[in-house]
Amino acid sequence: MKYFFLILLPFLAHAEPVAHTLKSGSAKYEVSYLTKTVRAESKAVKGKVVCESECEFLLAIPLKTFDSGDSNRDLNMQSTVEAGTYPVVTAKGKFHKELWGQKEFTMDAIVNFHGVDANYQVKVSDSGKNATFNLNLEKHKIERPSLFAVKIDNEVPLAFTFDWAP
Amino acid sequence: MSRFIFFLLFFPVIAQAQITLSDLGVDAKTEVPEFQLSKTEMNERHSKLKTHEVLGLTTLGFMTATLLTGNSALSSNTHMYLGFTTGALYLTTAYYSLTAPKPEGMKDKGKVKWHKALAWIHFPAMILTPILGYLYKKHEDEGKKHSSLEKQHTTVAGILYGSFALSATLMVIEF
Repeated sequence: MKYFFLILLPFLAHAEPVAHTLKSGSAKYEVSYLTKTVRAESKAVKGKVVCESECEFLLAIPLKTFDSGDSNRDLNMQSTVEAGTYPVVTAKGKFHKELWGQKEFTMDAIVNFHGVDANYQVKVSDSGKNATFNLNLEKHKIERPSLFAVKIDNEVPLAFTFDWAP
Repeated sequence: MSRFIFFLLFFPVIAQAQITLSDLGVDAKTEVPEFQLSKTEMNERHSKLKTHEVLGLTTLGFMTATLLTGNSALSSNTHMYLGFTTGALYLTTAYYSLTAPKPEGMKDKGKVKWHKALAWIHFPAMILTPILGYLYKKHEDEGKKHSSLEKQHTTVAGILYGSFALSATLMVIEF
């Protein structure tokens, strides 16, 4: 009987987790190559942040939802990143609870892209409404496309917008 | 007994599940792109479209040279030979585009749609331009009168050059 309260203790002490789900979100990427700068956007970003003692997040974007306005280019992108085998790119990680709600902060994220995990520092701004980081294609073993022996830039800037529901 | 109590004490912490894709309503299996080609087909498509792009720009170069030598067409054969080369390159360029594998049911969207639509202008012009040029030179050499159509060789060549250059520019330069 004396142990009964001990069993209950973690339940009582445990704060109720607070979950924030994405109402809507977008992700834009920008690929540069010689005279071209290709931009594409996905409006199918899914995400969730769960905060207890610290916050945990997961973002997911189906690669087929990126639209550059050019069907041929989108097909090339999907082929290059082998979207048939690795259809979803994810970003996950944890950050201090105190950061959530701050206007600007930087956090670590593990991005799974092309089936390969890589660590990034993500800059979050506007109290969690925007985020940016540069995706490194070689980190994810992506064979960069080229024309006239000139490869596309290895760094691909990504910009996110989030509309979180409490 | 004490181990059991320890487990119970920490169970709530252990039980905290990580966020998963299913929590987000994402099923990777259903997110596979609708239009796909096998790896071999995709490699063939890449290779052929890359060749199409390089040959297209080479064709544009020869087309420019042909246009620039137009004024000396009656006194030298350079214009004619450049025209033949341009024509051969043009058809080879078209071959690589037309035979590149494409996923069934995929509709063209964006600039590629305009790039392809312009072929309806430059392809007939590419056929007509050398014919009119040949007839013009032939009748000139024979001292015969030129028909009104063959007099349009320069105009048709201009339409060909303009539409072909626009088609190439659409794919090379980002606006």
